[in-house]
Amino acid sequence: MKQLKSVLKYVISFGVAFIWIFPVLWLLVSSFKGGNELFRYPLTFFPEVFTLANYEAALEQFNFLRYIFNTSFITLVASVITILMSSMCGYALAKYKYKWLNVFFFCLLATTMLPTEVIMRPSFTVLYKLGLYDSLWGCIIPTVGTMTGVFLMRQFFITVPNELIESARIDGANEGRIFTSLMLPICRAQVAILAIFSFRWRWNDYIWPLLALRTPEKYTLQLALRTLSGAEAVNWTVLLSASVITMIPVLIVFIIFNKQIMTANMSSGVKG
Amino acid sequence: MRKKTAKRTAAMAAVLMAASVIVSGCGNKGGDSAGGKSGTTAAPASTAAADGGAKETTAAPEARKDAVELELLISDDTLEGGAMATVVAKFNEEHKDKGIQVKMNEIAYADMQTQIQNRAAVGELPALIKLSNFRNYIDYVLPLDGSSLTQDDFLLDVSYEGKIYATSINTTAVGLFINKTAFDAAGVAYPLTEDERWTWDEFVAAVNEVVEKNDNVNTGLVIDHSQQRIGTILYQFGMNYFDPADETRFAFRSEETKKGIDFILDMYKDGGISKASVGAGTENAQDVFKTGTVAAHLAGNWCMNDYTTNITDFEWCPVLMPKEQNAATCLGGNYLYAMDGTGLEEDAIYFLEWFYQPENYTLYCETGNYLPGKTGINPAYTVEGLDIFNMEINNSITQPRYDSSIFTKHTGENVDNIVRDAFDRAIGGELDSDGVMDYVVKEHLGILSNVHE
Amino acid sequence: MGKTNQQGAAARPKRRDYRQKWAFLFCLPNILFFLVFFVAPAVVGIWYSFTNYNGLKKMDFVGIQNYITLFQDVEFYKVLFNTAKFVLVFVPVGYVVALGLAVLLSADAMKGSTILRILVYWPTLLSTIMVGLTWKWIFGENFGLLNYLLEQVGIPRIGWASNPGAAFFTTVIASVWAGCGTNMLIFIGALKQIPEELKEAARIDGANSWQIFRAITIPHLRPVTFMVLILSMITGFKEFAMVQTLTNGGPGTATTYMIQYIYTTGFTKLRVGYASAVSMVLFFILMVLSFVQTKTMDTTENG
Repeated sequence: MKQLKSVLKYVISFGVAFIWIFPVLWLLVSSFKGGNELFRYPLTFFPEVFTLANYEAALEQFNFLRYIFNTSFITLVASVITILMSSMCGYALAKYKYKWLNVFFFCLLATTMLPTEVIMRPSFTVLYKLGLYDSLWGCIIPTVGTMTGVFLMRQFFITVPNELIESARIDGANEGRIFTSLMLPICRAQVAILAIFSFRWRWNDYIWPLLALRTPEKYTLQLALRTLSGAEAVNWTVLLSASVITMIPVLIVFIIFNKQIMTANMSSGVKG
Repeated sequence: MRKKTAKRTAAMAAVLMAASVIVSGCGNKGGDSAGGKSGTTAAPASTAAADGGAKETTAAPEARKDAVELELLISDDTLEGGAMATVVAKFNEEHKDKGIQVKMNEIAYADMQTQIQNRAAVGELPALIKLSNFRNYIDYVLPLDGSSLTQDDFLLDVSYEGKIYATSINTTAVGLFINKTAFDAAGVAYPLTEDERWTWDEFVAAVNEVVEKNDNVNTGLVIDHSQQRIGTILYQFGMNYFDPADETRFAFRSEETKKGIDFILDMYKDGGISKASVGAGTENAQDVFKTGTVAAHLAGNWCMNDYTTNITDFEWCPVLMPKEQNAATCLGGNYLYAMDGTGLEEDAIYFLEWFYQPENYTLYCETGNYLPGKTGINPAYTVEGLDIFNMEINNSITQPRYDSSIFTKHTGENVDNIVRDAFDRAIGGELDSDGVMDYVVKEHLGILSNVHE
Repeated sequence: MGKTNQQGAAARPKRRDYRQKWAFLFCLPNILFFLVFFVAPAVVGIWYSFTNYNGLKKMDFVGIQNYITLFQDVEFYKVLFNTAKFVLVFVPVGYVVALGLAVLLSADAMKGSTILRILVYWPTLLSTIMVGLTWKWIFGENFGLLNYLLEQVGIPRIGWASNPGAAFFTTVIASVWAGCGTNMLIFIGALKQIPEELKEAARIDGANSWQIFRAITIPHLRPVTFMVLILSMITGFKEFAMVQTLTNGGPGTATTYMIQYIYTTGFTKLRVGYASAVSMVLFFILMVLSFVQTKTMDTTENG
């Protein structure tokens, strides 16, 4: 009976996952089809002629190395800063009680409510005045403060018992040390989650690169990908293959940090 | 213990980082803008560049002349076959030692507006732009009256208040493509000469027969989600935007227009010959045509390249469009123009003059299979069938040109896509033909100054 | 929670100041960021909303004209209603699906759970262009997989984008699909932090899985649930790029949501002033909603 149950659970899980991922598989397989097969009807899942020509065209058309370097630089630096800023701020919001902190929390919440798309123009003005225009830093600095990150950290630290901090204070540890040596280690899972999020946001972001950059040598992958959709036509074959290529690094990062999430064990932190 | 201190320092460093990063960003910027303004002296030879100059004082004088670099902001070039890249390479090769080079900056079509607006706001405009619109940016465009180029050289209206501002780099014409394989299999004839043109009812009968006799074809016609395509059909039914005798009267509302609108909306009804999803823009007509399940596609000459490469399962060809009252097509196109205030105005004009020399410009048209935007050019195309579009242009009534010349007088009053938006709502069932006319008239009168019904 | 600080404050006022300094220091980067990248652009945005700015040179002060136009625009209310309807469906569906997947995939004991997690999270890694693209081949009316399958079993095609009802669900399904991995991950992270001993104790006391889920898991997830709900709500209100590629807001205006309305009426038509006014109204609505949610959360968190 128990065995049957677990088998059933397997079947359901894999079934769900398969349906879930099917659209992406379709995309993946399509990237090996020629332009003449993409819109063929009746539909065929597997390519009739398996071709790497799309990938060759993508690699030839784009200076991938340069774009990957730019995008990686932005993504890595922005993610590190984001994680530090979010965990510090989230900790303060969760573990200190001052009126102004509540107000500030609400202010931060407000930031998520004006989407960048609609305040693009004023944001650009600010960016220019700060001297960040046409610099990779212009895609980093305006993005490092994120409410989702702060929120994630705050909600986690709320669940951490106050006794833990109180006893450290009695031992004479100062606030900074409590944060770095006591709190940071137990939020490993949250840091991993935020790292995945931040990596994905920055890697796939096109709005800030669009606002901040004007020199082709500084463009990011997403900006380059967008050039494939034109006024009238879309270069589907190259778009598919180039998208698959850009997806790989994010996938790798996910696999790495996924382990962190799974091995992080809260209870050990509490006991220690 | 030491380790802990280190961690604390790291946390503190994050705070400082945010600040320092801004400072270092400023540093970068300073360097860049010095470089960007390097070419402020207009004459190519005299530009000892600020960016290269300091380091390269020992280099040969010829090398230093390379300082003038014209940025050409462009979209779609790679997608359309890289014609501009080819011509720019030729220019750079010829001007290798002459102190002037062109650098293409290719971005997405959708990003053009944002990029131009932002760069205009901070005075960092590129020297040259190729885009489907120049009038929205007229405040920043360099008038070309100091050059050898004149309005008469160009097929499209490139003037504003009597002065030439831009050049029409190519023209586009609305036209019809058919699935030749399906038509042939059904034994249905299609018009390739003027006297063979269908009426719209004959066209409907023809594509219905094609659909009936081909198992794999289930749709008669797909139309791009575009004001220009809809407008073309309406012109064929006798619609005018403006009264031919009075350019202050907006004459969209008429029996002819209503007939045209009803005809188009009928196509999208259940059992009609077209698809609501395509008409409302959720599906790209060009992609749907490529499935081979469609008899005809109302599009334009720019589809030729895509279809030539990406359709192998069936044969296709452009044919003449149906006519109702009139034969009509809408002319569109792209413009190449120079920007004012870049400090490189004279160099930009020099490039434009070079570009439109017959040899160079013919190369451009032939590489990209473009219909010329300049008079007196006869490119030899690599794809067949483009002459159909020239026939459409030559035989079209003049009303579309008249209307567009009046719209250009209202530069700055943006009425793009109002008709298309009205059709989106009508296809979605929110408006009928009278509703479409009401919507179109109301929106236009609200935006255009000194116009009445 | 406030107790510890109050104690400290009463006993040693200096200590309180000292802690407050630390609290301020921890928040400083975000405070600076907030001022520079939110307050400054927002103020400029408010200014724009009182002008007829077109994004280029034209900018005259027009008072509250934009707001008057806005509140007289029938379409604005329709779009507002569409958006509210979307959020009301999207948030609960997204929540249930994400939590369900998290519970299903959080058990380490199950072999292959890592792979499954990767598969479910994968869609989240795609950029918005890619998500729109992917679903085109699924929901496409003429070359899409779903309609093809329906046709094979003899059911008439569905107008995934041209039928108002179907188009609404198309946008919901695609949004849930694209956003769910994020929330699932947050839930998995939180589930891992529920002490196993608690569940074990309950199991010994004879509780079944459902009872454990209700009595232990759900209460432990409360802070995270609050966050997920509030973030999903805001995401829902801001849904834009993907819907634009999927249904283009159609048929008609049936799936036109707020941001797309702002974007098309405003920026593509060069009416930056008007678009700014709509943004401010949207901002105000979201603030009120969040304020209410935060208040209700405060009572549950402290209670």
